[in-house]
Amino acid sequence: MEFWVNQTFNGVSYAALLFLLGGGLTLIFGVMKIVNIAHGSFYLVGGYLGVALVAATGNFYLALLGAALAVAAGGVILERVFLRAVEGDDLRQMLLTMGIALFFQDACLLVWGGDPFNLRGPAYFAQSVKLGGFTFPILRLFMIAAAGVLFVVLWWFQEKTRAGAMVRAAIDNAEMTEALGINVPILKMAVFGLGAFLAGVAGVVGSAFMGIYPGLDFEILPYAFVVVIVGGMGSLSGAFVAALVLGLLDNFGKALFPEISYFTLFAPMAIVLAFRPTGLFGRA
Amino acid sequence: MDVAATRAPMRLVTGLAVALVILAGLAPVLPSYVVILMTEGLIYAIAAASLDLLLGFAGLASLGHSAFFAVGAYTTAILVTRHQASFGAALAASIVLAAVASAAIAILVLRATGIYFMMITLAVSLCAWGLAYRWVSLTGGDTGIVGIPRPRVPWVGLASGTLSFYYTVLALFVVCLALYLLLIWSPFGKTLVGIRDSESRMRVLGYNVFLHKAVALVVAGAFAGLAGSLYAYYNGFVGPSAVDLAHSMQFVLMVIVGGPGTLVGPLIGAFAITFLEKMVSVFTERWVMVLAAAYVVTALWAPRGMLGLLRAAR
Amino acid sequence: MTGHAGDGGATPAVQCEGVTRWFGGLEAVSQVSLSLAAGERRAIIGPNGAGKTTLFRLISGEMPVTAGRVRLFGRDITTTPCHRRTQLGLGRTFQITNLFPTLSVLDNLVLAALGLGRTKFSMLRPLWTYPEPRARALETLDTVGLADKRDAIVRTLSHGEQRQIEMALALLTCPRVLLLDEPTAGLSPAESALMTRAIQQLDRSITILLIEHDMDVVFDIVSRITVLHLGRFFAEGSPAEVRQDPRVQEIYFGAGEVTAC
Repeated sequence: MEFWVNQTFNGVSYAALLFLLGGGLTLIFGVMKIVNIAHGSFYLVGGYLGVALVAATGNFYLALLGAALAVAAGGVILERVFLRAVEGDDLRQMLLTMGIALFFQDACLLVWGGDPFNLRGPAYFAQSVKLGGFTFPILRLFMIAAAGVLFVVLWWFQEKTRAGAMVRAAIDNAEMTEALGINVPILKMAVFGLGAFLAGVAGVVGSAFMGIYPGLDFEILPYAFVVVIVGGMGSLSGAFVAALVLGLLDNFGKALFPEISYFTLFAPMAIVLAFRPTGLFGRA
Repeated sequence: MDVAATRAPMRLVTGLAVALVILAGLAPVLPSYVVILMTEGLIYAIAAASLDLLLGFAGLASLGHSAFFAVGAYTTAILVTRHQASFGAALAASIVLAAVASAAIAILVLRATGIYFMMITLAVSLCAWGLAYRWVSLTGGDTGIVGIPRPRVPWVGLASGTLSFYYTVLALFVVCLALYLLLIWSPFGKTLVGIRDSESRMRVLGYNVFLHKAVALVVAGAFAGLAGSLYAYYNGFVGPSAVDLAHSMQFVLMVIVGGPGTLVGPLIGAFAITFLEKMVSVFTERWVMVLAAAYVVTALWAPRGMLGLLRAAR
Repeated sequence: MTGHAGDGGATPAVQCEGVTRWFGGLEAVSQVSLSLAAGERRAIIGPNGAGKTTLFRLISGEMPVTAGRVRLFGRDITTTPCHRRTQLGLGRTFQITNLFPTLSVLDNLVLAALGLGRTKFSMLRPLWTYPEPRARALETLDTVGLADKRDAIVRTLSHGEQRQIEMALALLTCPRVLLLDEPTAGLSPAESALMTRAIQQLDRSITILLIEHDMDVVFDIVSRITVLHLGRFFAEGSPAEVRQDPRVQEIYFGAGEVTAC
């Protein structure tokens, strides 16, 4: 019993991180239709900035917000200056995001060096809550809460607000959206910023959870992409469900069948692509 | 036989033959580190040209090509270090396994097109990296597989010397090049360009577009597997870096820097990137920065590559 | 096989039975049934949004039907993939020119000539060593009068020339049934007249289904007209009957008023 509860809890908290990472990527893909390889870099830069800001301010939440906003601002600038210039050409946009990713990889190495950092959250992150004989580390609870709140906010925004309706329209049919008088360039910039913001949050939270080091940007990218593809490219709810599935599979896979755990990323994706090519929540 | 149609191909063959004679003749007088670089350039040229069949000719922007390169590399590494396989056997097994992997992946990825195809093929290569990294019992994990000796070639004896290995690779390169040329000139090659230009028209003309794309993926995968096998011999070591994101994208960059859909362009692109890396590394540690700039510059100003710029200038 | 003189009259060339296609909640084509005798020349007309092109896509197999059946010479092809239908003798042109823009005119036609043979899978022998597809392509090039443009890249041709190639590609698949989607779209009156003549002069054994807005073209080519409206079968008859049908005039006139607002 304890095993199942603990593993489920660990899986869900891991899923929370995956959602923060994949949610932003799926939004960006949905509205902009680009392969954003720089998404891992947003995570990396967010994490390093978080470490620096915690050191400077001593306040985790201030650092979280500051780092995520900085990454979002960077995303907006990148979209405006670079991606906009080659709009409509998938391959060129992909090459650009790759160049941006390599730039940030090397820039981070230059600034923060090759040593790993641990982001020190508030002291209570290290403590646990005891509930019905089970212990739940507060850090993991925080991760789940952060992802849960952001999902609900984003879902509400997308489904219930006018701006969200525009986002949904842009995901379904960009040309139609333009014809309806929606300012698509601004929308794309905003969504790219929002996606970067989420990745920045993931970076800070992730750094508190498992540290940050050079190369992590490309290491977490597979997870982000698999979440997006399994969930259905462009679907926020899909990313949420896919993150849960993958988080749980990864945890139980490692715990129960170590040999199979190599496939916990690839297998779900292959199965989804074979039977539902548009992903769990994707539209044809 | 259409004589007029053979003119441009004959010019191309003449040009390539001259280049090959130079590549073969120059090697003995060049310093050995240059010969080593040329060997690497040839191996990457085989891989980049195979990707061009997909990206440039068939319009299939596969971002996962390094996965098949890695299948070839790991197959050779495992067979040679653990089973003492001969050069021919390792090469053949690498080609066959890469083709089989390619066929399996083709079924998964080919239902998607355009940007969705790019996302999924990228995810496939990312997962392939994850497998190489985590499946320690097979791949050696992060440490990879070390100690792959240079191949023993029947007609050269032990090709351990830099020069004899170079000529072995060059010979295989010539074979691949001849096959590539036949392929792009063949009816099948023309159907790939047709698919790039208009899938819907191809279907209405009676083509099974899925089948043609799948065959293209398998053929390109087989060549990538061959390149991967040579890379294992060349490097003496195969690790997850053979299939990491930077490596995957490097193939794409080579194709586009040279000029997609030209076959010759990617060959030049492969040499250019290989030599650029080594030369930049002499002067600075910031190779990654230079590479980043190469991506950005290519994307912004040279999306049709060097040959594209040349053509536009004329 | 079908196509013998004896059963040609009995088995319809094309038969749609309750063909229906949904897009999300929208019914683009609804319960359309029609039957074309072998050798018949029929037009489909209707205001914009009538579902004409969608019906073509359902017949050609570019898009699966939501319900209903499609038969070609009596054979049920409802689930047959698009390229197999072409091999069974179904040809089609596109309303929006759909060619291989980066290839030469000759290569466009050669690709069309290769579509039905086995040669298309040959990988190790240059295309120029195969005389047959090339000869067929050149022959067709002569018929459409573009012989002097054979080496031009298709992208650089005029719209009129591209429409001619559009037709030539379809003819090279040796269709027994030909779906023509607005063959004169965007053509000048003179070019349109030439295209109309070319269609009139096609082999009489080829069954033709034509979407066309230009009523003069329709009257010159076909003997029967089917009218679609809002995705449904609306009327059918000889050109004269349809022209005089007040209901048909009303949907065109009515639609005209709506778009005028």
